[in-house]
Amino acid sequence: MPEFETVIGLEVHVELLTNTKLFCGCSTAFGADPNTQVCPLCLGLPGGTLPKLNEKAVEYTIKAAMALNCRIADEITFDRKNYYYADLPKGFQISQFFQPTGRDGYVEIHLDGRSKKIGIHQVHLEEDTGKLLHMGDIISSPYSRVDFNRAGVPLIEIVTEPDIRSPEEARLFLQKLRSILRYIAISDCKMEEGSMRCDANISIRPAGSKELRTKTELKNMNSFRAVFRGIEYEVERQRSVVMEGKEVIPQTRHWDEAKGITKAMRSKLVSANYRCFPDPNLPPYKLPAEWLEEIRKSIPELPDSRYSRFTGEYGLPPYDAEILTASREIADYYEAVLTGYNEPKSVSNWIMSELLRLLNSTNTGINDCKIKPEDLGKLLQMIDKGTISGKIAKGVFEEMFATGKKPEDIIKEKGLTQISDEDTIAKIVDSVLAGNPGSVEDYRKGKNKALGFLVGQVMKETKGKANPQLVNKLLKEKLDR
Amino acid sequence: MNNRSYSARQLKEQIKNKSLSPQELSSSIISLCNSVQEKYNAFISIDPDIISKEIEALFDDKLKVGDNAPLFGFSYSLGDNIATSGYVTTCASKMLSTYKPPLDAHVFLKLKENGAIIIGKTNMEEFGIGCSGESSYFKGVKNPWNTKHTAGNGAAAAVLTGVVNFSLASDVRGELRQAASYCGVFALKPTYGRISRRGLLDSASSLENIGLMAGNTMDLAAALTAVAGHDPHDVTSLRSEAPDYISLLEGNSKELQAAVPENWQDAPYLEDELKDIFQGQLKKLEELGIKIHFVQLPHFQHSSLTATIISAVEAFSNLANYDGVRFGYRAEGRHLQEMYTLTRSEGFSSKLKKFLTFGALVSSAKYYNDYFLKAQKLRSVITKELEDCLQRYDLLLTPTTPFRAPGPGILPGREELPDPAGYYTAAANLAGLPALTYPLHTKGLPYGLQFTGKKEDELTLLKAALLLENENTLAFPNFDFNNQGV
Amino acid sequence: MQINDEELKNASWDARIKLTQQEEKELHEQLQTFFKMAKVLQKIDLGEAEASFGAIKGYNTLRKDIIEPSLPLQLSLENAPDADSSSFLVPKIVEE
Repeated sequence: MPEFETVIGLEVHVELLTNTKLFCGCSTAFGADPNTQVCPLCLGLPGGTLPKLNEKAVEYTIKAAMALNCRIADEITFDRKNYYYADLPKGFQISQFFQPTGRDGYVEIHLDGRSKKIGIHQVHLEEDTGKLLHMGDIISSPYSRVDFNRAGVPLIEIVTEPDIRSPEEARLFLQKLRSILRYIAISDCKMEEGSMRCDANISIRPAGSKELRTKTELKNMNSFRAVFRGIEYEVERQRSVVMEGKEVIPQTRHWDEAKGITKAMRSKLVSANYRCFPDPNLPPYKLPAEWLEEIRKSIPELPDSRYSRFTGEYGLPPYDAEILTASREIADYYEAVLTGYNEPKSVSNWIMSELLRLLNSTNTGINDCKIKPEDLGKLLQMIDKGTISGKIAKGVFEEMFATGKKPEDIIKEKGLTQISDEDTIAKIVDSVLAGNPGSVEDYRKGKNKALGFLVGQVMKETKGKANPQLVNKLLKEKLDR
Repeated sequence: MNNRSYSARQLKEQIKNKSLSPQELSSSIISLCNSVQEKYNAFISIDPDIISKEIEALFDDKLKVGDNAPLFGFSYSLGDNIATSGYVTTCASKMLSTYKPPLDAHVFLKLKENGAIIIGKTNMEEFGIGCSGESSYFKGVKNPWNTKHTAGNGAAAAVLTGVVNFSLASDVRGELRQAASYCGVFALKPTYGRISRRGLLDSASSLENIGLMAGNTMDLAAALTAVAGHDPHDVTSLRSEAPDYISLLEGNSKELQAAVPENWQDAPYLEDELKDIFQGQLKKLEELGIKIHFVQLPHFQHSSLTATIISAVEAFSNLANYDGVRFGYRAEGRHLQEMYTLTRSEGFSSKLKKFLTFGALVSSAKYYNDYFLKAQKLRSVITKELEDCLQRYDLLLTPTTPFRAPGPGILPGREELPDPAGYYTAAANLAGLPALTYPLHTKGLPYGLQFTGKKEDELTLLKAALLLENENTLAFPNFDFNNQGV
Repeated sequence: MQINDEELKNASWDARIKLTQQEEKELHEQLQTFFKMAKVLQKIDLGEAEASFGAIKGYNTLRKDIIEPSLPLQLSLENAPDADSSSFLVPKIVEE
């Protein structure tokens, strides 16, 4: 049986977080009533206004292209892509066909302990289309409603080179891309809300072959999981087509999430004859070098560089570094805790196990987290100093998370300070030994388990505040005497 | 009352000393409009209520319109592809026969500010493409010199009959100048971007401009001064501010150097009589101190071909929004694509349907490089050629059109690709240069003399026109509408 | 140069236009003149000329990202051939 290699290229559309549309002042806010965020320009009404390019949209596109290691064009130009569809108000989409803003970049992904570069063919700016609302599904709907609120919202399209070799790489690429774009805060990248959308070009070829074979284009994958499953299914499908001695047909296929299969879309007269030409109403915009410099300076440290620093400078394991740097806010939070308490691994443990668990279970974003980084630092210091036990600390931590109170206040309020005074603990130990002669007997017969029980009894008496090491030490001393 | 007595300056006096009542003025203007409409079909919309209201405002001492407004007492019309929220704006197409745009055009607002009153919206070729009088949904405009011939558009007929002092219309490949030449009036297509295109329902954005027509140079200059200038809402409008052309026209002019393409007689359908007339004009210009130089412009002759291709492709794209979804005519169809096709096939004229198909053809994958792209390259070559020529000379002189107003006996009698009427005019659109047509009145239908100038130098063209106007006596026909009741 | 009927039909479809037989015939005639004249396009040496695509050599300017009022819903839908209280309506998207 021949070995196949999978070849995948992705086209990712991302909506930019601008206040207004690409060429007019209409709001881009999500969830407005249909057709309330439109004007003569974005409705394509004759005799309306002329397009005026949104500065923020250009800035965000350049920022994205820079963050993806692209070469930046000298000027911003726009072309018309001419076709007819009900969600397209002007009969053409304004996009960057001839000269994308960014070219020849890459994104690095980490896979099985090694890293791999996925080439970025181009990054370009274009306008979104409106939205069709069908009665039931598109096939049976007797007519459809059109809402043009999204028409004209700025999008960037990121096109990769066909460098992706598996569904897992595709998923890792998308996650890294989302992480980078969120670091630079140009999009919220929510696949479920459609602010990040992904199409995949998929083909297979005999292992070792260099040429590109017939590909299919896969659409309608609305989550990272769907991207993974859709590609996985499509690769298998192509493999069985080839194994049957048939040819893969070039076509656009839809991922059906419910059925878990890909389906061919009707391929009638959809010639890719877009007759692209430069939009005569939009002369080129020459990018000033100072502005480019300013944008470059505004880009924060990105996940990859942070990852290297976290593994190097802080000595974190790759797994920790990957998780902590996936989100800029979490990485920032982590480093803010370190400024007050410089124990990288211990802080990492607390954030990864405790903080992220609570954030997820309460569906809270790190920005809304009530625990201030310096307070987390203080809490960890208190454990080190023996002021409280690790176990008590977890309770305090939950209280901090719920109320935002400072750890020392919670400890004081609830009297949680650890008992580390030998005399006090010795008295309690004596009374526990006196009250549990059976266990004492068991221990002396060699049943070590009895020690655990006795420690538990002391902790119970002190409501968990006794210093556990001290309790252990004193119990042993007295039992072994 | 003779229509030509409506000189705006005289009118201003009459209004000031109240020797005329608003009612008198309104009713005479409205009845003149009606006569012109009945005889020549110059307008698509005339609204007597709007006219009366605007005139009342002129007389109102509470001064809605100050009588020091530069265009106080001027009346004008707009081509029906210039948006007005008060009037339907149809582009002379069934597609838009009931369309009211949500906004007013920049030029409309400017003229209002300057005190001019709008008389109506003029008839034209559908979407302003061409000038042969075949495609208006509202039927063609008759030429007041001879009603068997086309006027080109209603804007020119309105100016010629004196029902307005000036009119605004669009110019894609020379339509404005061609119509003015057919009707024997003045027209100026300014530099691309000199007048904002905001509110122009354009068919070919890279070529098309709003231009002006008038019965004399000074009115042309007055109207230009009012509407010219940078508009921050049109990024293709010129950044430089427009001067006050009226005051600059008063200064003395230097000796002008004019270039004439040495092969100017190669135009298809060139009328023999025009050859003599044009040569006569060259002689006259020399007498007036304009130096004539014959120059080689090898690519100038391909202007109309080039502009025809480009305008067809841009129209194919610009008019793609006419799909029956958000505005305009819609035909019933069983599904979306059928609705599109029926809507566009029923809503556009036969001529436009062929033109748009032509645009789709020359930009299709198979022909894109050899025709559309080549045309865009040729456009650069023609532009460079003209710019180089105009570095050495102040203006380029040609006839405006190779023939007089099409009609019986004057070729061409049918649509052609490329448009032969654009032989001399299209170059200015390709290069974005200003061009002015000066009327040459003869015994029959008039001819036109075209001056093409340097970018942003409308002034030199106006000066040359004024020079000629002061020397010639133009023989405007005396339209007598008295028997219609004025 | 001869354009076949198929090419003409595809082009008119791309413009969402259906020509009548008479119109097709007329367009064929116009195209004959056109292609005869357009031969010159292939003959003349345009050297390294760049396609210009516009009459202006100027550069675009940018707009600040500030929200401006949109059209009132009623005005947006005013000119629509078919609409309900909030949306434009289009016929069945899928054929057959």
